[in-house]
Amino acid sequence: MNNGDPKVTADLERIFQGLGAGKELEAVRTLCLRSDPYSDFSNTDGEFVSAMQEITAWHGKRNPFYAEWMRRSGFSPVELRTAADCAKVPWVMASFFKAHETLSIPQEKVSLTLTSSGTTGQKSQVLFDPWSIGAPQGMLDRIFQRNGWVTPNTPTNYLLYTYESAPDSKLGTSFTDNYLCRYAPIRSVFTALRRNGTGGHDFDFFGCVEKLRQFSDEGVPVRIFGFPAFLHFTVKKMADLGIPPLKLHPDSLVFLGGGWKGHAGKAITKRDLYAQVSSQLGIPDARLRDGFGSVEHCIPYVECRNHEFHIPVYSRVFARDVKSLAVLSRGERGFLHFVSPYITSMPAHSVLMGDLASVHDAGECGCDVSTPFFRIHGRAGTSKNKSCAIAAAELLGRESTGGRS
Amino acid sequence: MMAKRAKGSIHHLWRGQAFGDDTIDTHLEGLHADLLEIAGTRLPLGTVLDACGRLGAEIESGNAFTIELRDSLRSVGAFTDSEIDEGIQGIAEFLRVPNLELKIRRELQGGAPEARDPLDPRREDPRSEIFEAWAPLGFLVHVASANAFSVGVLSMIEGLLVSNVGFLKLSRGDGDFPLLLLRRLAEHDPTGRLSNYIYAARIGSDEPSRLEKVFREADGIAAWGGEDGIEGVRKLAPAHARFVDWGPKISFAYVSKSALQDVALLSDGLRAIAREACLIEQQACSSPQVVYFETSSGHGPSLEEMAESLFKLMTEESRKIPQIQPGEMEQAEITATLELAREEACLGLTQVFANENARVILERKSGLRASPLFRTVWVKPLAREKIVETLRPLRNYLQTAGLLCDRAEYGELTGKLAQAGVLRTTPPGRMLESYLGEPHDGVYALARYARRLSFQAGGLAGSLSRLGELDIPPVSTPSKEPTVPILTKEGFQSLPIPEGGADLYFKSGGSSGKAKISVFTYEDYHTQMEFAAEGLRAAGLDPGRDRCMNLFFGGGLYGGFLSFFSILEKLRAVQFPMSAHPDLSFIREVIVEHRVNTLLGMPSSITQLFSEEGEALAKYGGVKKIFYGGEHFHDLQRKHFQEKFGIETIRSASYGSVDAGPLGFQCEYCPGSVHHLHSGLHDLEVVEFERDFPVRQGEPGRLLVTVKRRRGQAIRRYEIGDTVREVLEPCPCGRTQPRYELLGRHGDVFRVGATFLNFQRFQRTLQERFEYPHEFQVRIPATKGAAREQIIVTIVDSSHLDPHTVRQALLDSDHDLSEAVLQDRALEVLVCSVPLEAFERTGGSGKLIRVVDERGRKS
Repeated sequence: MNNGDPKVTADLERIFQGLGAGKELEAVRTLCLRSDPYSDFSNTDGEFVSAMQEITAWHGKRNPFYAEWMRRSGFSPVELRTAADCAKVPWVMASFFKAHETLSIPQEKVSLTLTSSGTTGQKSQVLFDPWSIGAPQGMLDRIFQRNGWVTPNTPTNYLLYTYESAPDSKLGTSFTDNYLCRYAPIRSVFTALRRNGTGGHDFDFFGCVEKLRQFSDEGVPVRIFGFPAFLHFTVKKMADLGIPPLKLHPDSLVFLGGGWKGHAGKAITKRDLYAQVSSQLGIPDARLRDGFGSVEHCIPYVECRNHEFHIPVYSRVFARDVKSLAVLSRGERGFLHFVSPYITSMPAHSVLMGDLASVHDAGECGCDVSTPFFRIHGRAGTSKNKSCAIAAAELLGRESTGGRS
Repeated sequence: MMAKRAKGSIHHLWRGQAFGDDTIDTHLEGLHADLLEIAGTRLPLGTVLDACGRLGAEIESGNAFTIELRDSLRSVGAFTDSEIDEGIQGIAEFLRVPNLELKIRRELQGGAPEARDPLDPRREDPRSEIFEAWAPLGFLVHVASANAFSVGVLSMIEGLLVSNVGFLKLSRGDGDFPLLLLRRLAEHDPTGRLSNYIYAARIGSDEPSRLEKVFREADGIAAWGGEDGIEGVRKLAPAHARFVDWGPKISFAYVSKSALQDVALLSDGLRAIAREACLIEQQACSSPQVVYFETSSGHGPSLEEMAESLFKLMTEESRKIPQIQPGEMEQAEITATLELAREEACLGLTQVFANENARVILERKSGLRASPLFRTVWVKPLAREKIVETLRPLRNYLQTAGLLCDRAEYGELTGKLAQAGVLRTTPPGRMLESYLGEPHDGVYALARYARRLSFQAGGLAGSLSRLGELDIPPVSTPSKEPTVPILTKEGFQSLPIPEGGADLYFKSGGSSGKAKISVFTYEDYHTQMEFAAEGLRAAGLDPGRDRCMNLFFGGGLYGGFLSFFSILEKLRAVQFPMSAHPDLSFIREVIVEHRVNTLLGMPSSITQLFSEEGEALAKYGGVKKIFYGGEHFHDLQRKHFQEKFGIETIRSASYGSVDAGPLGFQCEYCPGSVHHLHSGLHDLEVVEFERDFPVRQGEPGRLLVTVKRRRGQAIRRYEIGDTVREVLEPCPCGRTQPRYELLGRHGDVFRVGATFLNFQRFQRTLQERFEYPHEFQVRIPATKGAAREQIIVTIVDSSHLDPHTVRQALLDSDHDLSEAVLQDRALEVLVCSVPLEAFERTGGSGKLIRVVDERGRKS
């Protein structure tokens, strides 16, 4: 929407000015406002390095924790020369933000607090100023635009596999899913995880089926967003009940986000889900997409038609050895490390995620997006049921993977 | 959906037999019908124990099967060789019969010393008519985690000990190990019954319908593993199944204020903690993951100093122990934990000490945390006042505390730890140790795998001690292994006494002045006394009413007095432990004053008491029951007692001997010398007189005794010297224990005058003293109520020996004989010389009958 939409760009410009950063974050501003999310990836390296120098200095100056962490790491932003050097920017574990609130802006500038949608344990409290949330939203707008999913003239029915929000909801997922409804005019919205009046939510399977039938009859595009597990449950249950496959409008879109963890800890494979959704709802495979992001790192990663997560120009992604934390070569798997200068509110510009991932060259995918991509290989850390001692680690309630911003 | 490839070659076991995956669905269809037939039925405990014992012995032998087991674990690729060896050794140890028996006694019998069948309903109070027993849940499904390869198998065996039909649910990633082991267990049961109780299958999480078919039949589900795994199983478990969860646990060490002040205690204790934090890469639930220090500012060492010392010691200890490298996920966990702690150090919350050998993370918050393991511990402060509030929220996960403190603090600290939910407290360095019969995570497993039943039998209880006395006995399979030779008296004496098999020494006869000794463990002894008590009740002793005086001999290693003390105690009967006291008038006084109605003793003692104090006792008239042992109570005597003193019941207290233990008992329907066999304790065989062949059922022969479970001298096919005949008619009392009629003694060793004498010893005396070359014969006449029994040694008149000289020589050279004749005056020995033709011989071959026992003959 702001891809060439001067109004939105102007809005973001105004938000940026609100930071009062002056020239301190000039490169950050330029990078984050780049209109094409994927083109000229390597040509943006210089701008990216400058932006990272700026943001690292920003946090070093304003955040005592990060200043100490830089000191202990023996790091100075002037060391950054190449995009590869950005892997050296002292990273903070995503789990750090779950336990500690650490701000690089005055408290009064915090405009939004998001809690990641983890199932157990401490919840992430990630704090944003208008720029830190506005910048990634702008990026998402541009990615949707590039995919041709911004259709202001096509009324659309929405099925959201997300929590029906209470007026004061702080859950990141609900925030995002409602945000996603802006790219096509709302004809109707149905939220599958409905408030049950006692503070919780119940999954309304029959409501979903009813709505899907109705959407099918109405013959207008449908957009389905939210947790894969519940969509999976819906299509599986439909098949179990012998409900005949529906034929939703071919321009319908499924855009998922959240953990790929189903009921009773059973992982669903993406491939299986896509196949079932295709056959049960009649949406073509190329319009079934997953998104990866998290409250701790809000840059949107959206699957291409080949279902790979390409890296937009706004960030750089590394995989790091699980023992030495050294940066790994293409294709090798290790900790997922995100680097992006977009965030001013907290030192989350270099975040080590609790996921295992590998980074691949663009050529391995073969789609029309010419940037490298990464693949997720599950949680990093001790697997479930390993031993009673190890499993006890679970009692600390580690966060589920891939929550969405 | 593509199934993952199974790692093993056996897919499932059905009734103990191995199958491939093509038959699983057919089998599952038949499961319901299988279980209707078998679930809830009793599997004889002996069958399970025997099979376990044999399997354990085989594993320890290291034969080809053991190698196969080891290879099956190696091929999984998840275990080191030392883990495999230790695991297999642990299983063999678990399977040892005495260990299993101890487990049963601890977990199902409150530690009672007797070996009992816990599934046999027995009177919880011997004076009441209420019976209780454990019973299987029925069909018990075990869901084990793949990482600990022995857990599922051991859980299955625990289930089998209480007759559950077991189903071990494996995943496809499991190797063949559990299947090989369980199949082998079934093969070690010659009766073939055990296999009906053994099922196991690989069922993946993507085969919910198969799992659902199994769960639907379950009476119990035991789940092992991580929290999520257990929760997943819990959700699938049907409401009618008892859910037994064995979830994750976490352990820690605690170093008290006083220990911090005591330099020697602290340095030894810290080293022990350091070592234990390196052993087995902290893979056990009992490995320390957190070390708490009761530090206080201003006093003693600081938390930083302690963390540093511990790190130094862990580094040292770690170098001594070969390291197992963590896998990718474990390494990621370690890295992430350390990395986060390093970041938190910037906030002053933590301090990280790490090298290649060990890792210590100091954290100022007290909350219990799981360590990423592989030689990593958290060091945290924890004041004793905060123990409960800090730890109690995690009570479901707490297991072991390795406690370093002084004695004055021990009570307070163990109390607080227990209040917080800690289940085990050990000294530091011994957190990993366990002991036989130890509760598992706060409970006894067997009780969770069983139900408790009660039977209010009312008048039907009669003189039964166990309802099992009415059971249809399992087809008796006495050890007829041809390799087991008959055990003679002499053989018995030379039996080796096994290590740890001798707690109690009793005299069981003796010749040439040297006492013959029988040895028992306390368990053996109490088991035997339990059965003897059962026999005494059957014989007519009523523990609720009778007031009993124990008149048996005691002291000098004799078993009589003590045994009957134990027997009466087990019956909870009123007892006057008099023993064969010389002051007969005192005995009489006590009887009369305290309304004693039941006497237990040797016939000779009782006869003597009544002949001395008869008048007063006749006047009292309250003695109604006599239970005797050691000697025969002759018919004439019996009649005399009944008529003159109004005694209503005169019965053998127990049929048995010191060495073989109680063999049988007489119920009210057992006439003469007919006895029920304690079939729970022994297997009996009857073999022909001249050949070691079983007699035809009901024919007389020599009695051989095999004691089923005894840790002292192993009694197998012991020829105790009695001639018996099995009584084939069922007993009107309802008991199904087989009955035998005692026909007298047989063989060279014979029992007379309360002692054992040996024909061969007589022969040796005659040869040595008189160079006597002829045959001779010993006759034991039926003495019919005489005070003393008699033996007549008949020699050939052509030898021209003087009977008086021979008699003296026999007495001089046979200690047992002279003791019985001269000292105890229970026996008379005569020597007479007769013509050769007068000797009694066998009908067929005309062989000399060396000992002619006329006591059992019908006159």
